[in-house]
Amino acid sequence: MLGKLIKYDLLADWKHYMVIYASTLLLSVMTYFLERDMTAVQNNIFLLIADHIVSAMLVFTAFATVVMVFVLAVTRFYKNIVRDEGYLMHTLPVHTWQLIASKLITVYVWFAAALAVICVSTGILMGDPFWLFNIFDEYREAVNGLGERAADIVYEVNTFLGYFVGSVALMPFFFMSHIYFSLALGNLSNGHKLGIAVVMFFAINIAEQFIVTIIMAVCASELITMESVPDSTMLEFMDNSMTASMIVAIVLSVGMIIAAERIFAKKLNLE
Amino acid sequence: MLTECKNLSKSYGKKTALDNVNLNIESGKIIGLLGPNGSGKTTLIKILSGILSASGGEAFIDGKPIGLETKKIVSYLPERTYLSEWMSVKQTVDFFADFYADFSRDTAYDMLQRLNINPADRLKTMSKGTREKVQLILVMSRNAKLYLLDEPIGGVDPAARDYILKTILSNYNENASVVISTHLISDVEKVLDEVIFLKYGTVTLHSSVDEIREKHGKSVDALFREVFAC
Repeated sequence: MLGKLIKYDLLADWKHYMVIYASTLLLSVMTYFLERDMTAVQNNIFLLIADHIVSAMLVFTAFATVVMVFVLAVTRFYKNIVRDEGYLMHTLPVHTWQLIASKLITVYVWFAAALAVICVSTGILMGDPFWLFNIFDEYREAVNGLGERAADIVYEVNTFLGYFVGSVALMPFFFMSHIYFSLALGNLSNGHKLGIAVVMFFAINIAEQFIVTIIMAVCASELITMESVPDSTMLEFMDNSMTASMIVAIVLSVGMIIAAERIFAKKLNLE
Repeated sequence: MLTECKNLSKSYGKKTALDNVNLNIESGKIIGLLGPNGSGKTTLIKILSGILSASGGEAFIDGKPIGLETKKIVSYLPERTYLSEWMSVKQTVDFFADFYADFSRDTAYDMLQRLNINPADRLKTMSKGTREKVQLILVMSRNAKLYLLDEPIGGVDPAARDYILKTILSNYNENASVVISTHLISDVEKVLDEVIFLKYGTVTLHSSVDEIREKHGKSVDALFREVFAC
């Protein structure tokens, strides 16, 4: 049943995604051809204007490619689970967790596609479709060139890259868990469900920031008593606080998904 | 007993929508759930379909508490359009066939053809009345044990009402029951076996239509007007 739910969730919005993905790729190709001969562009006012317009549109569509994933995902969840379409979805012989899992998996599919489109688009602009792989190779070569003497720095850079990749990969999970939980809380109310969900979304985020700040403060408590902080201690603090923040965010997001599932399964209250 | 409600209650804040409803519905009946606006008809149907959680009491369908198992045997038609607008009629048929084991594509396409509804048409391009007809066709194309129809004739013209009632009569099997919530009593009276009167969230009458005619010497419509006179 989960597979069937995913199929219909993908079918629901694929046309919107295709339009924005195709626009991004098309604008990349146009920018690439316009900027192939920059001297010609600089000497022709029409080409210069066209280049500026196309470049601006490319930046906008590339940004929209990622933003659209979340806008459409939120809209789809709201319409399909909380509003009128919920009358059908909640009477299907499927578990509530399957309804939520389907939505989350669909977000990941479109998010991965958006990242792939941006990578391909960058490759087109650079005239190098394998730029990402080349960057990895170049980085590996640079690290090997540095040898053992820079092992600490390489470790820190790798750690930072690990956090960056992890944060990007978990971004849809973090964001959507907040949305699902907020809408579930709004569903409990007998009126102004959307308004309450919006208020809850901000309240949850503020509470989460508060918790993360406390964790950072606890991690930093040792540093405050020191007269001068050595680089190694500072790096250790950054590692610890980033790890702790990540773990807290994962735990809270898992908790919110479970809570949303419980609310929709046991306290469903469609208007 | 197909459906059983024991002390079923539902409150929205301080407002009580259902107040200790006790109800038994047998198989093979067409039951009119009648009452004025705000009497709790929709609330009761929503609870039985699993859309709404009860504040108190219990409900069972075919001996099972409301949940995943009852959703397999209950076919629910809400008072609003619940189909996704991006779908074509064919896609809605596929959707129902994918999720409901008791759904018959042949029945659905047969009814669509009789109503001149093109399966390739998108719901987005259809009138509200046509979308409601598509919904009814999908709901009645299931071989369910309990059909819960909330105001199925509320928003359609008299000619369509007749068609809808005919569709309901010709598509439910004799082991199933149909609960029709409406306040258009004169239109549905001729198809009903039993009626349930709801007033302020309580059951004030549960009787067969024949019994009402014999005992009160009145039609259901006349009795309704008397009981719920303002």
